Amino acid sequence: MMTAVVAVLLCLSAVVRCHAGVLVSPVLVEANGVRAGDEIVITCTELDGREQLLSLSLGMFDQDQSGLVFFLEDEEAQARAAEIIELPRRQVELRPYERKELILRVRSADFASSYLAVFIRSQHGSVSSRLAVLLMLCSAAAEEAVELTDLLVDKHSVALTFHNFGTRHGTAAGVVAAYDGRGVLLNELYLESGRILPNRTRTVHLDLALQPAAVRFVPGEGLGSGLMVSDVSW
Amino acid sequence: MRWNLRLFHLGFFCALILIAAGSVLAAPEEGAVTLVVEVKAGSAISVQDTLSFPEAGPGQPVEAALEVTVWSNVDWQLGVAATAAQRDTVPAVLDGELSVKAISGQWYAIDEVPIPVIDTVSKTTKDGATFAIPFRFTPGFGDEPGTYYITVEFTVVPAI
Repeated sequence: MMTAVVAVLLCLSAVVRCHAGVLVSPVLVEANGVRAGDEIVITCTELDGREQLLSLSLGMFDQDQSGLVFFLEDEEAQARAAEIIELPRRQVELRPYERKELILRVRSADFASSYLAVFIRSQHGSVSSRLAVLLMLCSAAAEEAVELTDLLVDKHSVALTFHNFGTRHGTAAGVVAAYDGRGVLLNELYLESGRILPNRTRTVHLDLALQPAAVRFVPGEGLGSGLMVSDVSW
Repeated sequence: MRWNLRLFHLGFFCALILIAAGSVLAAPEEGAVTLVVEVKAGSAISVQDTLSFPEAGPGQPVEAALEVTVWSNVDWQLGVAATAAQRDTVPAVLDGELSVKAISGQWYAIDEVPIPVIDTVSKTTKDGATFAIPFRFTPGFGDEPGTYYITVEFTVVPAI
């Protein structure tokens, strides 16, 4: 019987073990009141003591209900990103320990908010790894409107769901208070949702020490807008 | 009237001395300078160059783990995608399946679209955070015998 034997090698990213090849900073840019012609500066620093060839590309990003980022890298998304941001070049060479600034220029600010990713890929022969720089760009008129839309309690845990009805990303923050059947406070926890993109929903789970009879979410002062106070009893 | 004026001058003088003394006490020590620095979010990644699986026949899964180290001063997540495959030096389409085990313990088949293997993790120390990420390859009957090279790409993403 013939046995097909397959040996597989994974070719993985470019940097030598235990050495960070290229440091990229900042990796998260939040810019409000963006206008065409604005510049965003990204710094790349070679840390490994060898020449590095970096390649740059664009995409868009979104988030799922748990807040995890995922990318849109199809042709349409890349074209949309390229309408908004102009890359200075597609490839950058770094000499050992060299630091270079990449200046991205905003081509068009014809949006309320836009969420782009700049991928900086370190290439070394046939292998690669990349760092994503997230650009969260908003016009001056864009507003956040995060509201609590659901609050579910399951024994010792509570799930709070927020939705952003606004035109720019926002964050919900406040205190989750748990009470027993007599209204005695059992537990009080500070909650921050993380960023919620416009028209996106994000659910945050919290563990409680004791099973409550009622839970109330009290939004923090000056944080977000339109947050509701909710009581849940069962 | 004259005494009142003298008292006023005396009071004004004392007030000046107190203000001067207060200024001296409030001022930083001579030679001390306040340095202001703005720290930005930054990330870096290191993984080994190659990972070799043991030999395997069709339908026989083989596993190997890969160490990945990430440095970041903000919360981050890590995705992985398989971007290309070749048999010896020729581009190939794999009949077998390449999977990765996420930090949650779940196995996921990987292709060109990055999937999260490490959900949101806190910022690291200066030594970075190192994870052993298991990969599994199960050859298919459509994979002819030979040595296959699969290019895998990791993406470090700041958590939002």
